Formats: sequence, C-alpha cells, structure tokens
Amino acid sequence: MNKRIITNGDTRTNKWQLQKLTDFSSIYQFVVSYKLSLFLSVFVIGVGLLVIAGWFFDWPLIKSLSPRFVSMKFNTALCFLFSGLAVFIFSFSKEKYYKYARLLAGLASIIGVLTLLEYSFQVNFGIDQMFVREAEGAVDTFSPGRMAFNTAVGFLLVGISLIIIDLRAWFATVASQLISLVVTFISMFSILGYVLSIPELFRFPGFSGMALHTSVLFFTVSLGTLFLYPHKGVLSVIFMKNLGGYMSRRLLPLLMLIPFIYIWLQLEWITGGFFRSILALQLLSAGIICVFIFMVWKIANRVGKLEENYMKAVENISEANERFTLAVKASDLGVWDWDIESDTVFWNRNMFAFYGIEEKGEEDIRKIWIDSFHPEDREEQQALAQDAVAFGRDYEAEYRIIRADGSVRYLKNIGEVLRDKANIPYRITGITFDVTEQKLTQKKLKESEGKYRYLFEENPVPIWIIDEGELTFLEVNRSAVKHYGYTEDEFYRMTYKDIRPKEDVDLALSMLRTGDISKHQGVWRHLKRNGEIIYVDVKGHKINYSGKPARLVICNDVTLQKEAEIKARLLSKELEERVKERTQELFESNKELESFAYSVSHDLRAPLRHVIGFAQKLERHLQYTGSSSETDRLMTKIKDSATKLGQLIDELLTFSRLGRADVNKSQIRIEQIVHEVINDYTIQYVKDKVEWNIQELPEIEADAVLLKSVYQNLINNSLKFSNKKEKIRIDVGYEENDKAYIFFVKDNGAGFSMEYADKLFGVFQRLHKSEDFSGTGIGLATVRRIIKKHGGKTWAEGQEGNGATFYFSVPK
Amino acid sequence: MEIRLKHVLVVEDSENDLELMLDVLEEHKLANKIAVARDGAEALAYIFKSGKWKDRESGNPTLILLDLKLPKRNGLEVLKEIRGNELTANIPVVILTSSKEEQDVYEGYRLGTNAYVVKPVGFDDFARAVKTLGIFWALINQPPGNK
Repeated sequence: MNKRIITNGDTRTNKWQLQKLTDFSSIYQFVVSYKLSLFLSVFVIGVGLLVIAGWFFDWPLIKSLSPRFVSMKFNTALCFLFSGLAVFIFSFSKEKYYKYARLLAGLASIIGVLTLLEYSFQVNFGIDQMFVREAEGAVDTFSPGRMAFNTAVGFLLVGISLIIIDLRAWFATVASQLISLVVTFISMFSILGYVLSIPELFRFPGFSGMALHTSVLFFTVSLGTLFLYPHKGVLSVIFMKNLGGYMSRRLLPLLMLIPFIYIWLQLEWITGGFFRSILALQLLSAGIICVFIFMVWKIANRVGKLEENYMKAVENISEANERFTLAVKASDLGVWDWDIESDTVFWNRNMFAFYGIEEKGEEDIRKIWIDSFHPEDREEQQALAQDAVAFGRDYEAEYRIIRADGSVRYLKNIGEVLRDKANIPYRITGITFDVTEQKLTQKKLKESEGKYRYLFEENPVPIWIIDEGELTFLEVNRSAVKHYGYTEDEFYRMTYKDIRPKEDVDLALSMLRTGDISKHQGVWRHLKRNGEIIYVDVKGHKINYSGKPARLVICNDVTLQKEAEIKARLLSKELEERVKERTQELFESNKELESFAYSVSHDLRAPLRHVIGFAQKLERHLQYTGSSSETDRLMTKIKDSATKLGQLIDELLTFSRLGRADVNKSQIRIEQIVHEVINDYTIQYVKDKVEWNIQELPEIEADAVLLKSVYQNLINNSLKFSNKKEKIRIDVGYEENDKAYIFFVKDNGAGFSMEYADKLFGVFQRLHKSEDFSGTGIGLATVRRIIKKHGGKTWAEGQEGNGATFYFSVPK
Repeated sequence: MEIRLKHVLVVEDSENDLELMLDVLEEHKLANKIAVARDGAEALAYIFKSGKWKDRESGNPTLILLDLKLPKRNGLEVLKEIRGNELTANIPVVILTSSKEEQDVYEGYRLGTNAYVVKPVGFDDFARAVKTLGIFWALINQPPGNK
C-alpha cells in the first residue's frame, strides 16, 4: 500500500525511453494482438471444412494429399473444425461466447478419448465410420476411418488446453500453454518425419499414422491456442516488455534451432554426408558454440547498455520523486493515488491532515475517503469518479467533507487517469487542495457583494456607474430606472450626454474634459425620459470597475429644493426691488416733506414780515395822523399775532427738521450740555434770578445737538412756567439703573394736574391759556420726538401750583 | 460823515419787501441814488447798461442788494454774471434773502458775494438789518475804486 508514486513529467520521458528499448518488433505485436491466433484458427477451420467436403464429395487428393500418404480421417477433420472454431471464438469474440468454445473443445477431446479407448481396449464404438465410410486397406490405417493414435492424443491435449486456457487459476494458462507446446512438438516431429521420410516420427508403431495435413493442422491449432494469451503463462517470458523479454526473444529462437541442427546432423551421419567425420562434427560443435558466445556477448552488451539507461532513468525518477516529495511537503498539497485494479488508495501525509485523521498505516483509506464526503456531495462525487474511470476523463472536482470532529472543509481535487497500452485505465493519481479558506472568503465576498449589490440596487436614491472614457452607463440601480423613466437597456445605450438637457451638454463636456473632479459635484440639470427637466445634486467618485476607470455617481433629486430656492431668490429680489422702491418713495416723500417744510417756513415768513412791517408803518403813520387807544390796541394785537405766527413757523420747521434728522451719537458729557444751555441764555437777569441745582451728570452716548435741544426746551419750559414765582428753583439731575439713564428737570413753577399728564407731550398741546404763559405747545413734543429717536421714554410728574418734574430716559 | 453810497442797486421782486427796504434806506438817508430792478434779467440789463437801461447814467453801482428768489434770472445767476465780467467784478454785493439754506449760502460765497444776510422774519429786525448794512457799506466800508 505504501508505494511511492511517480507523477512527474520527467519520469514520463524516461518511461518512453525505456519502452522504446524494450519494445518488440511488429511480428510480435502481431502475435500479441491476437491476430495471429485468429488467422491460424481460420486456416484450421478452412482446411477442416475442405477435408470434410473432400470426404463427402470423395476427393482423394484432398483426403490424402498423395496416394502414398495416409488420409486425414473424417473425425479428424471434424475435430479440427471444432477446435479451430474454439480458437476462433477465443481470439475474436466476447467472453460470453467462450463457453461455446469450451464446448467445442470438449467435443474434440471426447472424440479423441473415445478413439484412444478403442485403441486401448481393442473395441469399436462405431464412431470412426459414423458419417462416411473408408475403404478397407487404406494406407497406414489400423482400422478404417479411425484416426491415428497420436492424432487422438493430440486432440485430447488440444481440447484440454483449450478448455483450461481461460480459467482464473494462475497455473491454468501455464498448463494450457505447456500442453499446447507438447502438441506443437509432436506435430513438428511429424512434419519432419514427412519431410525427412522418417515414418517413425509420424507413426506410432502399430497404429495409424498421422496424415501430413493433420500434422500441419495440429501445428497450426496448437500455435493458435498457444498465442491466445501470449502475455500470460509460459509465453509471457517471450512477450514481456522488459529486458527479460528482450533477451528471451533473441536467445530462444536460436535455441529452437538446436534440435533441428541435431536432427540434421543425425541425418548426415546416417546418410553419410559431409559432417560424417568426427572432425567435421567437432568443427560444427565449435562453430555452434561460437555463434552462441557471440550472441550472448552481443545481447549482454545490449542489455548492459539498456540497464545503464534504465538505471539513469531510475535515478532521474528517484531524484524527481525526491524533489516532488519535498515540494509536496513544503506545500500543503495532498497527494493521492488510486490503483483501480486492486482498488486501493494511497494518501500522503497532507491528505491525512486534510481529513483530520492520524496516520496509523492500517486504515482503509478508500472507505474513509468515501465516508468523509459531505452527504450532499457524496453521490455527485462518486459519479464523477466513476465517470473518470469509465470514460477516462481527467478528474477535477470540488466538494465538501465532514471531518471526524464535525468540521466542514472544502477540498479541490485534480486527478489524472493513467492508461495502459490497451487504453484501459489502471490508475488515477492526483492532488488535493484544501480550499476552505478561499471558499469561505468567496462566500463572505459573495455575501458582502450581495449586501453591497443590495445597497446599490435597492437604494432609494438613483445611483449609477459610468465609464470614464466612453461616458456610457455601465450600471444603473432600480431607483435610477424608476426615477428617470428609462429602462435598463435604454440606459446602457446612452451616454452621460444624453441625460442632460441639450443646453447643458457643452458645459458638462468641458467639465469632464478638464477632468476637474471637483466640478463633478453640485447641482446639475438632468433630463427625464418624458422630457421633464429635474435638478439633481450630483456626487461623483472615481472608482475602478473591473479594471476600467469609472465613476460612481449618486444623484439626489433636489428639484423641489431648487425650485424653492429659485422662488425664494425671486421673492427676495422682488422684495429688494420693492424695498428699493419704497425707500425711493420714502426718500422722495422725505424730500418733498423737506421742501414742503422749507417752503412753508420760507414762503410763510415773507408775508409775515410784510404784515409786521406794514403794521409798523401804519403805526407810524397813525402817529402822524393821530391814533386812538383803540387803534393802538388793535395794532398791538396785529403785531402780536404776526409775531406769534413767526414763532410757530420756526418751531414747526425745527420740529419737522428734527423728525427727519439722523441721530449722530457720540460720547457726550450731559453736564457740559446743560451748562451750555444755561449760559446760552441771553436773558441775564433770568439766569441770575434762578437757583440752579445741577447734579453731577454722566457721560452718555447720544446726539449732542439733539440733547441740547431737549434741555433747551425743558429748561425754557421750567423758566417760563416759574416766572410768576418769586423764587425760581430748578433742579437738574439723573438716576441710573442697569438698563438706562433717567434724567430729570424739576422746577417749582406752576405745575400741572396729573389728570392731563398724557396730554403734555402732544403737538401744540397746552394746558394753560396763552395769556398766562406764552408758548406754542411744541416744545415737549420736540423733546419726546428726540428722546424717542434715542430709544428712550418721556414722562412728567406734577402738582397743580406746586411745580413739575420732567423725566426722560436714554437706554444704555 | 460823507455818504458814500452814491449809487445803490436794489434787486428785489417782492413789492412789499421793496417798499419796506426803501423806507429804511430813505429814513436813514443812506444812499444818493437808488435804482431798482424787479427781476434778474432787469438787474443784468441795468448793470451792463443794456436793454431798457442802456441809456442810464454810466458808472457801476457802489452796492448791490441782491435777493435770490427772482423771476427770470435768479440772484445767483446774476451774481455769477457780475463776477464774471471784469468791468463789474468788483462791485460789492450783499445777498439779502429769506433763504437760510446752506446750499444757497455756500453757493453765494463761492460765487463771490461780499455778504450774505437773511431777511429777518420780524420787521424790526429786518429794518435794523437793512440799516446796519447801509451804515456799514455806506460809512464804514471802503468801496472799491474805479480803474
């Protein structure tokens, strides 16, 4: 079981070389291929039939060949027919017909045996003349129609040889061949007898002689039987495809000559030929020995050379084998060998490792091999193996095994079927890989591939892969098909250009040409199959798709967002426009207002001036012409009214100008402003009359001019409304909280009733009659307006007859 | 004191303003000869001795009291013309107008007025303004001579 395997290219060559050396020539080939036996058997059958016909139609020449010779008896011919057929069947037809051959051979034997019995016991069974009659006194015939003694023996032998030739026992073929050889020699001597006219050779004394053609046929049939199994038994020595055969093929024929030489010698001696003398004899002997020595020398030489080559080949083989074993050891290859004939399997160490079994040397590997197959794979594998054997296919398979410990492995087998000269497979040898890792990886890959394929296919967002060079679609997922409306096939026929609206194609192309991948992001317009244009947020990534440079592109439909964006932008533009318009309107209306205010003041002033001027002129005139108190009074009224009007106009102008003015904030010191205001007063005596109580005031961020105006108004008011009092006291101060500054101006003047507090700051609102206190009623409104511009508030507290406090806040 | 305002041109379109102004000037005897132009074109015609004024007595006015709001040609245009002509460039001009507008003031000075006075609203002030002007220009200021 532990044969060393040779499956290596080197050894193949050597095997051929060996074969060439030991191949035999075509004659032997002819013999070995059973064709010789076939021919011989046909010859025998033919002659047999001929003789039988000769007996039926009475052809004397056929029966005896010569009047002096003994005839071939009918039974003989019949037996030859039987035996010839037997050989024919053996050499030509299938095994299932062999039993008929044996039957025929048996018949021939029986006839032989019966004839022998007739001879032995001097009886007549009547078989000799069963079919035809022979005349009495035929040449060399003991009893009419009876075959010769040696003929009977011959048939007995031939029959036996044919019967046993096929038996399985090893000695059967040998025995058969030996028997056949005996018959061959007998027949050979018989022929010699005829050739050399030595009747003793073909006639057993006292009995019928063997006919010439009988001898020939015996020779033929025995040879035919002999060569039925040339590779078995005794004959195998000659037909071996090795050195032994080589030798025997060259030596045996020579040896075969010897008997003939001696016979010839005897004849010479008897007939007094050349070689009668002892000297001649000795010379002859010497000559023969020389020939033999020469032959032996030649053969020995040849054999020696052959052996040398053979040994070299063996060495190569053994070297290669070593290398191979090392390679196998180094790798993890399993090597196995299945001898078909003996149905045994060889495994190398790795195989045991694969199957997870310890090598103990006694296992039935074949059984293990079969049992280890995964139940699902077993049938298939067995069928495959059988196929390989039956049809000679080279064996390649992948299958699973279950080890003893229950684990599953994937194995891959590659085997080669070896055949003999007859093309019958006698061995399968091969290697095994454990591909479990690859298989698992493959599985995982497939799984992961499946996962990613799923991700790709089932992704709600349209994704596709385009070829970077051709811009064709290589892959599209379901969403793309659904969303864009093209079928998969249509996609594969399109390029990236086709997915864009015509106007955009050039831009897209230039982007791709520059190869600027950054431009492959962003929002582009795509064209659906139905002509609809959508906005798509495109993200492209360079990938390698089966070796081709490609791009994986994800297209997010952002049409709604884009449209919203566009709408928003339009709206905002609209809004901007509108704002611009309104601002313009406002600006214009402001300007109008300004020019209105200007013209109001300007154009109203002039007539005012005239009124006053002419009133005065009138007054002067009246002085000359005489005036009355009434005219004086009226004059005064006119002048006062006009003056009042002037004031109103001024204040109104200021007020409106204030309304339009921007607030120029800066850090200002309130204290400084208050002092400025007070000092600005030209009415000195008023200033002196007043007791000023001015707190330390802070620095805040406000418009200096406007704040000054505020204080002007407030202080003016306080002074105005306190002028009836003897002692005027004005307090200016502030409070502070974390949100704002609260300033106040307090006086002890006329005050007001809180009932009318909210009316105070109205435009032209007055709480006193004009005779009591002058004023237009616009001062506080101005204050409120200014403070409002600063984001602050104004309010007042007071008591009728007991002063008032006016507050305003400025936020921090 | 010698009255130096020999020859005054008053350019004023408002009849009333004019009357009042003239009253003041006469009351204080500030000028010998007072000419009146009622609009810008007339003013220019007078100054350049053309049109209906071509037969007037030759010689530039010693003072021009110029209103801005004039029909035909407004005051600033007149001023520009006066200053633009070598012969009349030196004539003292006082802009006397109701306009307090910054722009007008700026333009006036830029074009070369000698003084800019806003007509007071109150008549007293107005009278006083005119009087002061008259005294200044007539008695205090040195008029430009003739070449």
